[in-house]
Amino acid sequence: MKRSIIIFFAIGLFFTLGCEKLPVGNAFLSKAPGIDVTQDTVFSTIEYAERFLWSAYRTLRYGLNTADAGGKDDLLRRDYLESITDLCQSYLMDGGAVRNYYNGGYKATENGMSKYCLTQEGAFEGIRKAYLFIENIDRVPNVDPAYVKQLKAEALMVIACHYHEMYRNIGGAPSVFHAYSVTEIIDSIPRMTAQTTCDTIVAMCDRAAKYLPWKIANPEEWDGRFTKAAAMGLKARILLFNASPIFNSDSPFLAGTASTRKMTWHGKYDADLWKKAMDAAHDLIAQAEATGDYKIYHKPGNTYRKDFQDAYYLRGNGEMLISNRHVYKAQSSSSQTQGYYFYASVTWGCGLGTQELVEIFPMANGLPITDPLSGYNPNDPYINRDPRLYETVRVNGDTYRGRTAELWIGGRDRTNRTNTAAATGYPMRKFILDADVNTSYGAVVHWPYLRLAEIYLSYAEASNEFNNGPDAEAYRCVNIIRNRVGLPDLPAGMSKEQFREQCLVERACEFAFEEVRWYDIIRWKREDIFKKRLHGCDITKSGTTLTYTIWELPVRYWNTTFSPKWYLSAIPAGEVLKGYGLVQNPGWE
Amino acid sequence: MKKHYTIKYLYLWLLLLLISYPGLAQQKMFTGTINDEKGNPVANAMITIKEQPGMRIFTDNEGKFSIMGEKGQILEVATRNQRYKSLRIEADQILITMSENDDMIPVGNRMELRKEELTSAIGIVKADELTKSSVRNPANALYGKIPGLTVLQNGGPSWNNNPDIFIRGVETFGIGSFVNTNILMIVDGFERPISSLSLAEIESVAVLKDAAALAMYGMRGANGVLLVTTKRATGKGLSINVNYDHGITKAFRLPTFLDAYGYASAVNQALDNDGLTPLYLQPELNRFQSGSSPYLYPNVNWIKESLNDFSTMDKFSVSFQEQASSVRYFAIINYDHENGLFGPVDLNEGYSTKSSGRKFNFRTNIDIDLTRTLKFTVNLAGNLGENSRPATSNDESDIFSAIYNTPSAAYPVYSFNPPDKAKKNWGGSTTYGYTNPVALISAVGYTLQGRRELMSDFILKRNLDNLLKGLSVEGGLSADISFDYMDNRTRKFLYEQLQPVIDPSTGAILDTIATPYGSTTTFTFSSSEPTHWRRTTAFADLKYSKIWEDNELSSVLLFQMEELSKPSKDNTYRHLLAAGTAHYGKAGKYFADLSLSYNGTNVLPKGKRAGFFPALSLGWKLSNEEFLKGSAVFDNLKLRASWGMSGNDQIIQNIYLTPWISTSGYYFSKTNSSNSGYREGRLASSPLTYETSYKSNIGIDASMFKMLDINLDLFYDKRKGILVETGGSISGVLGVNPPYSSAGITTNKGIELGLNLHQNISDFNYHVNGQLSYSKSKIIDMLEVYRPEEYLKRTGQSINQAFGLESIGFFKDADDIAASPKQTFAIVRPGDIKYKDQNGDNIINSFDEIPIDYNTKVPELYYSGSVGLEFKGIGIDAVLQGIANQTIYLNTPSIFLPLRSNTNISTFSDDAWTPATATTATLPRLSTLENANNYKPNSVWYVDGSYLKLRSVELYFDFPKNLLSRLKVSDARLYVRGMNLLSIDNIKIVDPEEIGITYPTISSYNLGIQVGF
Repeated sequence: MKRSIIIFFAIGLFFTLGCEKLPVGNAFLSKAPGIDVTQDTVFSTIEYAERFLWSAYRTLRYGLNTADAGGKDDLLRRDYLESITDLCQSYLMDGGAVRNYYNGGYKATENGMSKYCLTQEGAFEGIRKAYLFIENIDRVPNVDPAYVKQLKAEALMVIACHYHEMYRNIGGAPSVFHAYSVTEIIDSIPRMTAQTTCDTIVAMCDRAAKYLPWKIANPEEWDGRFTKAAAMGLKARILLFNASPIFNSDSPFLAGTASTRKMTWHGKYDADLWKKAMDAAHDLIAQAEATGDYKIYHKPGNTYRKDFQDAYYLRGNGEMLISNRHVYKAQSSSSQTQGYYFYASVTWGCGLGTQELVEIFPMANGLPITDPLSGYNPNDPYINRDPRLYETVRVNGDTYRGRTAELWIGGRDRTNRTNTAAATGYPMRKFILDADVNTSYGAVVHWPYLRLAEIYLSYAEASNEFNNGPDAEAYRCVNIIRNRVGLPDLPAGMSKEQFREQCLVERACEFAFEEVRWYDIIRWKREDIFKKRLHGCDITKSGTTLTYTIWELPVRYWNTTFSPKWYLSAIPAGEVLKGYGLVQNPGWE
Repeated sequence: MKKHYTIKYLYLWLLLLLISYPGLAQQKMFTGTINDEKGNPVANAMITIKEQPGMRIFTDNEGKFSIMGEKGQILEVATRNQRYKSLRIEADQILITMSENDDMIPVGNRMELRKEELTSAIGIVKADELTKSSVRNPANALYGKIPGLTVLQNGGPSWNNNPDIFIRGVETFGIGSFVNTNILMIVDGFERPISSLSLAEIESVAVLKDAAALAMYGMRGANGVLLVTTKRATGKGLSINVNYDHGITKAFRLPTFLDAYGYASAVNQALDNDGLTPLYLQPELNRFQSGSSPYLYPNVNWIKESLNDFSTMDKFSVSFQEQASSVRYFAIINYDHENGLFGPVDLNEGYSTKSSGRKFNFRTNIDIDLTRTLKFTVNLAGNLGENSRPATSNDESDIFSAIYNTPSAAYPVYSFNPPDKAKKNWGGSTTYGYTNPVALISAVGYTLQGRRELMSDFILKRNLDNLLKGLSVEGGLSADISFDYMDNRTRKFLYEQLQPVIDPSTGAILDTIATPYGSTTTFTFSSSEPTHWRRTTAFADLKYSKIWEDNELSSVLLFQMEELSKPSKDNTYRHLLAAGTAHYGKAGKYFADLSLSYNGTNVLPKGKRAGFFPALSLGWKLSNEEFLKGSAVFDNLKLRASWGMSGNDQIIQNIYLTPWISTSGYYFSKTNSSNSGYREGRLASSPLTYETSYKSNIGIDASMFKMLDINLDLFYDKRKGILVETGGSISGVLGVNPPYSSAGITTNKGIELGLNLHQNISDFNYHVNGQLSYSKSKIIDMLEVYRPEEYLKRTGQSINQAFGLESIGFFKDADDIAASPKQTFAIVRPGDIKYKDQNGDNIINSFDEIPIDYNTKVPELYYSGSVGLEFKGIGIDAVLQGIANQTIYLNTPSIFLPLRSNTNISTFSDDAWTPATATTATLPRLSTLENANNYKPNSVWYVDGSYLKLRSVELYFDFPKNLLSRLKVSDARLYVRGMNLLSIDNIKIVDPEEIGITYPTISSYNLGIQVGF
């Protein structure tokens, strides 16, 4: 009896000591070796490591509708950022503009479908990739140390670009300075002040500029990688934003904890910030003009329109400072392969120009249409205008697909009034071009993230502010842009305010649909533009007579119920509540 | 290293024990009688004496036996229906009564206990109950048979049919589409799907529900275990059993779609509702109605054209069992054949596109006494199944998709030219697609798809009485393989679209345009092996049992290794188990069971692979206490209580590593050469472990007045370690998919009740049985993402709780729309669903979704009732089964959601809103558009899924024994049976258990005969 119990429990104990401790246990339960790719695999050769960096590049902002880049299809849900400015109206019913902005429905709890959702823009993904790259690239054997430095500088530029987007959209950014582990994240990631964020980005650009080539040596293979000029350009752009009244003012644009903590306000006006912006822009302009490697694009023999089109559309044209690429060619009209929706989306009601957009373009003689001497005829509104108008939206009577655009109601391009593809009367033309197989479906595309033209205009704007009026160099810089499309020089003797306004007009004309306008109106706190009722245009044809009827677009929430909170995006409430240190922006608490 | 030698030594030691011999003792003759609880003699029961293995005596037809033995030895009785009793020989005359309490219940991992002594929650159903069903997959015979076992029917033809099976509901949830709610199915001690078997080879199916029963399965048992035991030879001599069953099958329910006129009118109505121009002019509507132009304005009933009303099934089985000296075997062959419902399958010369399934099952279970103390068991079983069907790219559901989605008005079956019918072109259209259902059935060629499975077990059992009385050792191996193949002979065919040219003002037909599409091709052949798997298990165990004074002990120590391999990376599953269980009984009144298991799995990383699962259960048989002995009320009364742990390791493999994945890159340069990328995958999961379920159970088993049995169980489970996403708590600043974490917690509680009333009144006997199972889960923690409103939270709700918007009627007019909160999903029009603004922000969006009714996965309440009456060999049996507290989402196109993307409309939509019916309508307006406002989860489409079904009803006749004995037939039964006949439910238009577009559920009417020799 006793013996049996002892035997029994001895064997029981033996088993319960654990299968894992038995040699047979772990051998049996371990898996076959050598089938998993890990971080060590990737950083074992330069080819693999580079591929990791390229996937970091892929997280860069892309303004055309894509579905493939880090969940970015939820960015305004396939809509254009321009559609929440005065230049553009969206009729995409399930788009973010219609569903979240026109009706004021956007909230801190809404994660997707906003113009900038901190956690859904691929920003932290890109930053993590870049830091992981920087932290591990030294492990790769047999690589030229100079090349390693260049690669690290490129990775740094990926981070800088993402920080710069955060800065423009939410203000002071979370301080992420290496690739975090899960446990670090849970502790504390505080939000930096606005000025520190800007300083951080500038420091990254400066550091990157040291190791990046001024221009790409073999563009046939590597056009699109970051250059020193790209770093200098990004620095100029962020310094202009930093100097602008939204943050650089004697009072915050809206009171709140984030303002008190200087995350959305610098605390006081500092004129010197304009100087920094001016100098940074001029450094680049001077170096570009000295070397001749970068210039405002012009090709002998081109029409003004063609020059302008190539300036934003063509890869490697010498004007492009930063050009972002997810695909090589645009796909067919409705194809969603590669997540490219932008051709299809214009037929769904995206990117419709407003009457205000059309009216912002001057006449070809350089005079605004409001000038009695301009020659503008409201009954034939589209002739003799700034050539950039025709390249920005499709207007009636312009050439389109080798024929004349018919945008009267019942015409080929606007078969009925409610046709969403032309609901305001002005379908988008920029990027879309003729929207046919021969010209654009199969065309090489990219996102013109930063062009030299912007630096010229930024310099003019900053210098006007710092010097309390435009000097000759400021004039020169604006006129270079105007002259490219055949517009004459600006008249001399403009006041500071006139010149400032002219710079914004020039930027609207040059960069419509290039994500410049939104940031211009918020950095100048242009409540008036937010409140402005916008318009569309119906053309009716009777015989050969065209009648132009301007009508009011549906009221936008902020036309009537405006708050400066709209200048910045909310931080997703779920992120704030995770309690690692994010402070909500003013008005979104 | 030391332990390594220890285990080798252990094996050697076991081997030595196997080949040693026991001794003999002095004897005398005892006689006895065995009766059942009704007082009938039990013939063919086997009597052995534990101390004298190898000797077997059988009772005669009067239940009498005589046997050589000694006083004080243990006599063991085993009857045909797996009843067992052991008792000490005390008198010369032995009277034994075998009752249900003597049923041997498999309690998992190679241990069996008499029902009377059970302390755990186990339900069992035996062959005589199961064979009242005519089904191919034995799982379909389990509806409402065991409390706590939820079996939910699915569509699909019988050869592809697998019901969903849950034990005590669900208490876990997978990540994304990963399923972790599978129960463990064990056949004869080894893991196998029950669908591999045929019903005729099954002796019993047991369901293990509480920790006391499940702890032995370590981290495989938490979702419950279904134990299937196949038949073995019992009784004396040779017996043969033949069964033939012929059945007529029909679709249980098919939806009714509108005829062409109804469809066209509905389309016009929908277009009008959308503010668009009507598609059909009045003269065209008239043509649909009159049928005057059957090619241009067809009115095709696609169900009628495509399906036969009835089809047939046949089942045949013959089994043999015999005990011959030292060899006992049970052998069976079973053949199932069922034809599908498709009609036009013989339009081709030389081949048929018939859909049908054939399956041949075989099994031989052999027990051999190699020596008096060494038993060798070999079970060889398998099946060869092959089914044929039209060669559509997926399965039959492609065809049903075409039948249901193609409107009657879409196109004719054949276009009119050329006139020779054999060469007529198939109808089709660009609008409605080139999926002419009749063409898909008859003209795309055919596919043969098959599965071959082999299952084999080899077990050696050695009695070690010579070493220690009551000790035995057992070792075994099982190897299964399953292999699928598919041969496709596919062809394409020519369609023709016919379009009338209409005078827009009068509607007159001016001309007809016939446009051909595609071309008729010859066969192309392709073949594939869709899946295969193989599983190997090896085990060794040591059993010890002892009876001393009024104490009783039986115990098992088990060591088991198993491997399941499927053909892809990270798809091999290995487990290692060391487990022990001991059952102790005192004076037939007090029982206790202790189980300990230690289980390792390869899906977890080194150092975290193994888990320890203890369980303790107690039973108190009050009816054996003095104060209840001889009670007029209680024949049996037992209280049970158990507590213990059980695990679940169904988690995604390899997530303890951070994988690096090749990904899309970037387009540098001016050329189309992409530089491909690498990215970091989801971070390694942490913490990562198996799920642990802490299970508590209390139960009562009672028999009263010799006619009423009651079983009641109450349980409370808490499950921890459920793998969940951590995105809800980890900052997005991380910049990569955050790891999964085993941080989910749920609870599940419920009640099971079984009542059985049975009585014998001379030649008449009856039983009325009722079962009820209720379980309700609750999510305690799932690291849920932040949700701004309390009612949006999944935490605190049932698993798979339905969430949607709450409908408060339909918009009356533009004023109503203007005055209501803005709905952001689409532009709304009168007749669209008006939602309740739950958070009062005057905007209706995803933040207004509330929990609606119940969960969508498992009904909370599952119940059944059965009745049996028998008089002089004529009897009737019926089983009803129902569910309640389940929500279903009616989102099937055409059947529930009409007309979108040129799909069909059924009579379900008769109640759709129109301006005229605005006050009484129950469904929103028809629309031809996607209508994101109406067609999203909301309280209109979430409906009560409860039903009550008549699962089976049978009328049988047992031929009188005296008549049969002259024919040398031992028993014979003739039966008429109906399966799955009726349902009372809210859905009405289709089977509430299968609302999707797929092969429908089937009813059958069977006639069968069963003869035993």
